[in-house]
Amino acid sequence: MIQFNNVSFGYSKQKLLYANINLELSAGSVYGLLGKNGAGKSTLLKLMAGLVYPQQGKLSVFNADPTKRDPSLMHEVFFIPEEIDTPAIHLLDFGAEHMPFYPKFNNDQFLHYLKEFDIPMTNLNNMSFGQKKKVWIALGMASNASLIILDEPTNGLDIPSKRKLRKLIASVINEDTCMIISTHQVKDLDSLIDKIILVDEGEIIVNTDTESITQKLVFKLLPNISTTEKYLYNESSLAGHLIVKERTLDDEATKLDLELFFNAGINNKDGIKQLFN
Amino acid sequence: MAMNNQFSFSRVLLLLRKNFKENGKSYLLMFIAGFGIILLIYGLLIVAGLHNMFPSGDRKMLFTIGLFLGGTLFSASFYSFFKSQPKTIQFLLLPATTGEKLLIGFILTQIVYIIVFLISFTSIDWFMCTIYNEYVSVPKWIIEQEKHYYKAVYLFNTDTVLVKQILVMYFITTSIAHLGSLSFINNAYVKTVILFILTVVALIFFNNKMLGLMIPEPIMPYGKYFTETFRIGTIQQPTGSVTLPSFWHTTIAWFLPIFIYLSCWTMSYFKIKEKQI
Repeated sequence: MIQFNNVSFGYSKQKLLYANINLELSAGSVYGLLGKNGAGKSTLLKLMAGLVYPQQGKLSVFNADPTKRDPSLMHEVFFIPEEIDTPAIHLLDFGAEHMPFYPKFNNDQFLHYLKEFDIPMTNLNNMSFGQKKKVWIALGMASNASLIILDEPTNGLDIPSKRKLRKLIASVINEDTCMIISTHQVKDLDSLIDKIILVDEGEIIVNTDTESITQKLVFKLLPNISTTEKYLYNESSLAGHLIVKERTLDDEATKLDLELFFNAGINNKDGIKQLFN
Repeated sequence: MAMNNQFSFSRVLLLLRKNFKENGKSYLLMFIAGFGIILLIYGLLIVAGLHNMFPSGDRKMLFTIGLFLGGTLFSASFYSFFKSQPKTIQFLLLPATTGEKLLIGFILTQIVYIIVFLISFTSIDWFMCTIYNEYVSVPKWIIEQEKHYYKAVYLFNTDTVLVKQILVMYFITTSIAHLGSLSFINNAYVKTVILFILTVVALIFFNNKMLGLMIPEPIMPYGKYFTETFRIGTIQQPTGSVTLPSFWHTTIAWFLPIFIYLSCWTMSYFKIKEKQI
């Protein structure tokens, strides 16, 4: 679906943000793109959408070149940026003006999603940032695009809306759809994500599914740290010590702690890379 | 159902409708402001001219300034939404070809503006001339043969308005302003004007210098931009003279505007096509 072959990109030719990255994303999954602020998450999403062009290498989305921004590709890609901006028109006009550009757009779905999000049928100008963001999310989901890219979708959403967003994403994902969610608030969407891409300092540290992570790692809260055992990562908390370690035959499978995995990936890049690549 | 990547007039109409829907209020406000300014100035001319002849020079100046200043301001602000990253993303990723998106700018800046301006200006001019002719108070000492000077003539009924030249200049300056709007995100108008002035001054200067090296005659004699004849040999011992064919001037007169015009729109096309954020 999306293939990066030795792709390099930088905002200036002297300093590359990504150098020779290889990455493959397939349909039927919800990808969680994780990374610190400024790690290059949004840039990676922009590369996929054709908003920035690779300096080297080959990037294809649905076997097409995203930099050409051809309508046949663009109607299959819906990008919802972190910051949003809407025109001062009525919500229904807003939907109606976008509908003809997306052949698979379903207006009934759009209205249903708006209702789910409790969006008032009014002018977009009268809405809060969070409401406008939900309108964009509803529009993106109703477009039935095969690739939906969400950059920090939970920013600006209240707690009930985050829950509704999770429900919505779970309802629209199917075997032909790929959803990529960039977030640094991993707890918001950890139940949805089935594949993880972890980036840091222009490097893809991990691209794997959550099942592989729980097969290879254990996440535990221990009262004390053992001096004999080797941990990939540990951090102290009020309740004890949170640890990430390689799973052995004696260890039982544990629930994935995405935040802990993220911290492990950032602080022990080599250890995590060795296990997953 | 895949979308066609070829140019589509139906998509242009959809884009045009979307543009009017989203920016209609701004266009209306701009129209009201422009119309009000022209009406106000005409009103002042009427008040000042009820005991005098209705000044045609001031009206011509108002027409020219309104057309150029309004047209270039409108064109230079056409892509002012590039200041907003979310709006830029929406514009770039909307499933339509670059040509279709460019055509919207062309229709609005090169066709719609001029039609609206000409209709507004001529209707104000007609209205104000009618009022003047109705209420003008011709001084008693004016003899009968000179009273026709106190009859306002509609601006376009006079043969002194250089409509063709003004229109050619309008199309060139607005296409430059449109390109400036795509090239500069902030202060597009000011930057384009400064760059335009510097380019014209540099062109005149270097044209003069380059021709001076080739032709041993004073360049731009008697204020003429194009040299018509020039001497061969030294001033002391001329060996002959060359007179350029008469069609030389007419060729330059149409070639240069068309070349600049097409260059601006070609560059605008590639500016949109290559736009990254």
